Amino acid sequence: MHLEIEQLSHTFAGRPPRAALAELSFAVPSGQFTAVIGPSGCGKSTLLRLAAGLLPVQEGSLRLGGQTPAQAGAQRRVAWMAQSPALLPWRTVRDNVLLALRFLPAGHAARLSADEALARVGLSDSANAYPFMLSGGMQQRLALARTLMLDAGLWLMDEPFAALDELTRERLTHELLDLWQAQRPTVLWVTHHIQEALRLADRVVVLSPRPARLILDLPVDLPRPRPESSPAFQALLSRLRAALGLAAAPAEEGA
Amino acid sequence: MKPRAVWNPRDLLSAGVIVLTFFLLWELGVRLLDMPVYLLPAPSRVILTLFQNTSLYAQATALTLGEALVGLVLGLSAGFLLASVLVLRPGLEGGVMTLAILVKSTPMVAIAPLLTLWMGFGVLPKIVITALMTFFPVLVNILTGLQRTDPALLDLFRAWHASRWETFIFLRLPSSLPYLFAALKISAPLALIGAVVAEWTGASGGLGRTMWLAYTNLNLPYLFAAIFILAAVGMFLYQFLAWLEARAVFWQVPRQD
Repeated sequence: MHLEIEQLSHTFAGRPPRAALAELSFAVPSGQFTAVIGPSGCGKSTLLRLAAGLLPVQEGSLRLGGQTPAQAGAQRRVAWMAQSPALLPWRTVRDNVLLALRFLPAGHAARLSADEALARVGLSDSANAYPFMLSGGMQQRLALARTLMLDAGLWLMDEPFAALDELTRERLTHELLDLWQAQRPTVLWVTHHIQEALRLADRVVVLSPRPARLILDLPVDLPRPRPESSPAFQALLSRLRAALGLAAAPAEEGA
Repeated sequence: MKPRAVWNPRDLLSAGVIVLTFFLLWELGVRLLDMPVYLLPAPSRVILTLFQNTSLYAQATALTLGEALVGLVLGLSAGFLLASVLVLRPGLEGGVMTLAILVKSTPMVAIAPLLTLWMGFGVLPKIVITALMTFFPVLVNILTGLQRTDPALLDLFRAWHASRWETFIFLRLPSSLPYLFAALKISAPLALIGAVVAEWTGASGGLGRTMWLAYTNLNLPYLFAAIFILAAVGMFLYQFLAWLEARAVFWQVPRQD
């Protein structure tokens, strides 16, 4: 699904009002994996919430496959995944996945059955368990299964693996990449992690401190998998670090 | 999955030892100080009175417990319905909560004789007082529970375009279960107090009336026997609710890593 953002501004009411986005413009072609990176509180999550229809568009335009976020959302063309796996603790793993189907509009079918979706993320053996019996990584896999099952053309992912330990996070990002390559939805991936953005995305969009403006649009034309030690990877990393105003130190640093 | 044990044998044993020690000291104190029975009867005398009048106490307990439970169910239903309306129609909250606080702030001890005067010596005024006493904690707790739904889950339901009603049924309601049990555990002992206080103001039966008669006749073994029953019933109700909570809100079982 093609995503088009034009002159998008958003201000939160309050005293004083807080501008989150200022005349932001960029487009994401269908099937592209785009990482959005920027300093904490710069408005990355606001951008995703606007695209998910969780916030109303105030100024500018945001079109998802030619539709407004509300229209695209109503047709379930958009999947939303946040840092919290957002699971219902009183429902089993399978029932958590099945619940998403309950709200599908008439005539819409799921892309996968609940059991197929659980199998894709390696949770078949835990189908009858409850979420509190799962590790943090398994809980995010369950949220991912819910995303996979819906036939959404756009995945909005707001740091879904940020709360996980480094090993689990690494494993899950690899698995996510495999699932994305099999299904090829458009992905807008918000992250603080510069290396992760370069390992995963076709393109990295760098936003300025609040109110967010586009300060760098960096295509990542490297074949996957992308070893971090390669000179090409390091060159892109340096450009990203420079755009974010970070010293060109080799150690990883949060943006 | 095994719900957490409510009747933990170790806790029961330690509680039993403390209660037994308390009664032993009480018994010894009364005997050594030769305490007159109209001031403080020995616990053995109270228990003897209880066993000599089992039928009287059983009838009184059944009546008081019945009034308390019916009042509790009414208070619970009213509090739950009103909390649900306030969540589904948030604009009403300010006005309704002001009225609810007014009800809460009105001393029920002052209202009870009036209700007895208006409604007679039957069970009705007792049920009304009990319902009024339990209504507020239920309303506040359930309202809090319905409002404090995980924002990440609310976002997900909004992204799914779930209606307000669907969000209420599938998300807010089950999320509020822990608050419902917290409300019940506060309200159940309040319901017993409400029924007893209402009976003091005039009744044809019940533990409150038994206590009142015993007090006016300075028959303290009778009075203490009723107090013992009330304490035991209150504890049983609380433990039963805790047992039920462990099964209904099973997902709050501590993780065993």
